[in-house]
Amino acid sequence: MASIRALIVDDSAVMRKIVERSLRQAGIGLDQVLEASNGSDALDVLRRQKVDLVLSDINMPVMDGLEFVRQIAGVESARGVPVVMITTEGSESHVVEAISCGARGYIRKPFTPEQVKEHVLPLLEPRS
Amino acid sequence: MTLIQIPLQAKRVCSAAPNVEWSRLMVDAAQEVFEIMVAARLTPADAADQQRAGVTAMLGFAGAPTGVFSVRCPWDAAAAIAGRMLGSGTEELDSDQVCDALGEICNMVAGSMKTRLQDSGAGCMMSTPSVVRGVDYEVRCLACDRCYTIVMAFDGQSVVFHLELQA
Repeated sequence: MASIRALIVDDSAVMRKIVERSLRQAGIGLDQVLEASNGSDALDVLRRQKVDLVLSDINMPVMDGLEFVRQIAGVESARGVPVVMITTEGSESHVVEAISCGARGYIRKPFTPEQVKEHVLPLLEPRS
Repeated sequence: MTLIQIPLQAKRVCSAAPNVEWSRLMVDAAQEVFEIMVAARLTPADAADQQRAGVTAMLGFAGAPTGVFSVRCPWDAAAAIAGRMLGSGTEELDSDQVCDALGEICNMVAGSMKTRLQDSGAGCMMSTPSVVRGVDYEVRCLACDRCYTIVMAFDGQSVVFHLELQA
């Protein structure tokens, strides 16, 4: 699989590093990792740069992850890019809401690199 | 001394009788988070072994139930937790990263508790975590009337998980 450019969205800088490390441990080649601390900043990133994958928290200040996913549809260059939510919100209703907003995967914190691999890799394979 | 008045009671002794289910919920959630994210096994410790907290992470939740959840520990323990989460030595970390890591621990333990509660039909909203650092502060409960505290040992130091609930 070719290396990808990923956008990691989380208000915790520590969690962004952990997510990046988990992607690498999952064997996902990362050409570049972009970061944003909330949904609004993430939309700005997507308007400027093309990415292959977005991983986003839900509970964030300014703009939460669900609203962020809803608004991605309005960013032409980001249409079709798989979005995976990584969040402490683990209820079925949250999963359903995230998927209905446009997320393609859902990983509950705490998570292992194996879980990241399981949820992310199938979304990338058609693009390799 | 700084007094922080939010719905939390961190240093006072709780008079409420411990509820076995709430305590079990905290233990299970805390152990899950530490095993997966910190690669460490938390073991139950005696309340008398509590060490002076140097940092406290806390968040509120509203709905069913409503209350405040917090995690407090000595600064060195928080730094060790952050180091293990990030796979780096504690000397490489700055204080923002240590506070951030403990806030995420608080967030994940509370989230795990919330998910387990939802299995029994409960539902609540969680705030993002806040972190207080210092050696001489007292956080007082204003609205909560029940509290549950568990003390766990990590790396030879105490980590205290505290839950305050409104009726």
